[in-house]
Amino acid sequence: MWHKTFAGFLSGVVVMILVPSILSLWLVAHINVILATSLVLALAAWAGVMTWCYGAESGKQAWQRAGMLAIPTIIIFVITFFTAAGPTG
Amino acid sequence: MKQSTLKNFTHAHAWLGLIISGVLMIVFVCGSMSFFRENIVLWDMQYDAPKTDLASQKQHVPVSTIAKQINDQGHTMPADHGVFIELPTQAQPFYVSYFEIETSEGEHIDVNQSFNPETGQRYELDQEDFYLGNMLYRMHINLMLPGGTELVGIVSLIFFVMVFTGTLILLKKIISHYYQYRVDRRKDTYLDGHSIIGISTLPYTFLFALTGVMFNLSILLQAGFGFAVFKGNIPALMATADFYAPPRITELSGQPADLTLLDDMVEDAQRRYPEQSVYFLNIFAPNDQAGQVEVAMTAHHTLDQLTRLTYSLADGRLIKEYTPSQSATAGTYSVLSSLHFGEYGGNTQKFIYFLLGLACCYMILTGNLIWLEKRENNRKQSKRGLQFVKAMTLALSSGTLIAVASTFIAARFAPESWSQVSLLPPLFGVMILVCLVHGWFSKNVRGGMIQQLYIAAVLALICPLYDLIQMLLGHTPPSYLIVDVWLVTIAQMLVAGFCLLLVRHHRPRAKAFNLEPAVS
Repeated sequence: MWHKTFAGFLSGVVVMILVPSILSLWLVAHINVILATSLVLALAAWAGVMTWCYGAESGKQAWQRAGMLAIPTIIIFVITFFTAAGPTG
Repeated sequence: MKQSTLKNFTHAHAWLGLIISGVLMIVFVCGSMSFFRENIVLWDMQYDAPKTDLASQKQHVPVSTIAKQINDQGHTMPADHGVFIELPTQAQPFYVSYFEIETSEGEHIDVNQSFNPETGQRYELDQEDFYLGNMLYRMHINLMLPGGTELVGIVSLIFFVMVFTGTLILLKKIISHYYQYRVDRRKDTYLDGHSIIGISTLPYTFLFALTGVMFNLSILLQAGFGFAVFKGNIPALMATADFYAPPRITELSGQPADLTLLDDMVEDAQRRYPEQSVYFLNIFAPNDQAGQVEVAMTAHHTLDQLTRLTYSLADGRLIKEYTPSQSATAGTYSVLSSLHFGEYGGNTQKFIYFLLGLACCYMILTGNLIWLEKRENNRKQSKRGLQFVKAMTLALSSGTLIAVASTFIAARFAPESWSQVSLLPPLFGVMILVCLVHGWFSKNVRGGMIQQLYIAAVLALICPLYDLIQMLLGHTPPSYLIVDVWLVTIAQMLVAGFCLLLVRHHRPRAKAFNLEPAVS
């Protein structure tokens, strides 16, 4: 249970913060709308990711699922962060 | 969905439910009562409230009279704090003001004053003496504990996960088994009740789980987003999101302000928004021409929250106009907040929310009972460990109902010289402790819960009975309080009815007589 909880919680945080951030860095003119949508969808996605991890057969599988979501998100964010101008230029 | 996945969800649902049930029960019981937060404050003061009636008054004194009175008291006020003045309404027909003063030792003290709307004279009435409504609300948002906001946020997040897992567990049978409610077998009655209420209240639980996480944990989203997108420039993020920022006076002019301008501001605000009414004024640096005044307007039965107009105290001109719907983020936050508090639908909506809150308490209680009874029947289970879990669960589930009912009794019967602020929170904690001890010595979980629910029902009926006797003896609350008194009385009676209903369900059924003839 602890593994599933931490795996879901941490990858959920990564997805909740970085997915709207990636979108905002590319679509600077729509940051306000992305933030508004995130209040509903990103917070629900956090709980959704945790639920997915709780559905895993073992702690190891939960971490695999968490990694499958978090690692690509982090990679895309890092690329976007250094390539897209973002609101601060 | 695979059978093993379903099993994992069920396992997670049961364990998470047990772990968060205590905090969740406090949040739901206190939150359900908090829909009537302002009504509870007025219910509480019904024997001390000023006998005034807005309908009978031709005109009340202007707000500038009240501001001048406060100014003349000569308090030193912190520069970044405002003097908050609520205007009289039908529901609260007198002026109420809140502000903070700074003592010569640098200590900050909250002050609350009420004023006669006809004469402007100060009442000997401090709303802080009627703390119950506010205490229940604070208990709801942060348990009145350090780190409580974050704890409630985490619990809301796990509750969100439980809403998802619960829905997924029932997904296949959600339509076909919706009306299944087996009353002939005890365990299944709980399970069916738990499921049917869980599915029926799904939109409500989804909304409250989401807004619970939003209120308590969206700081993580804000901070993360601020660093990831705005490279740590949080003020730039706040400017983009366009949340309301109150005036901040950094420099004083040293010139005294003309407070009669406040009346012009109220008039101007009312002219600009004729469909709304002025709710309160917040005066920043009231003694100085550099000061600013926030005039907040409110409309009934709308999801829009306050419209705020900011005026200059130098010449009374409008500086800024703000409505949450002018920004997507602030507007979404405002709509979700309105949906959470249920104000938009008036008293009917608040009552529906209240009943849904009680339904969620039923889910928590039955969920715990199912889990604990399963463990009680398991011979391999550690008896000492189970006894501890049982005591904790009883204290924080049915015990919460006892604690809340006790605070109502204390608010009604404690001597006026006793400060409710000092009395009610410790009483709440002591009652939980008493229930913990009772739970520890209870033979079985069902018996313990029945006893605690009986006590909660009796305690919840004491205030309504006392008020009824007082009414029969000739006491009538001021006319503007009648709705509040009835709302809170009915809410207490519903809590008592809820406890008795659970007792009826939890009581072991007597076995039916076997009428078959004996075989010789």
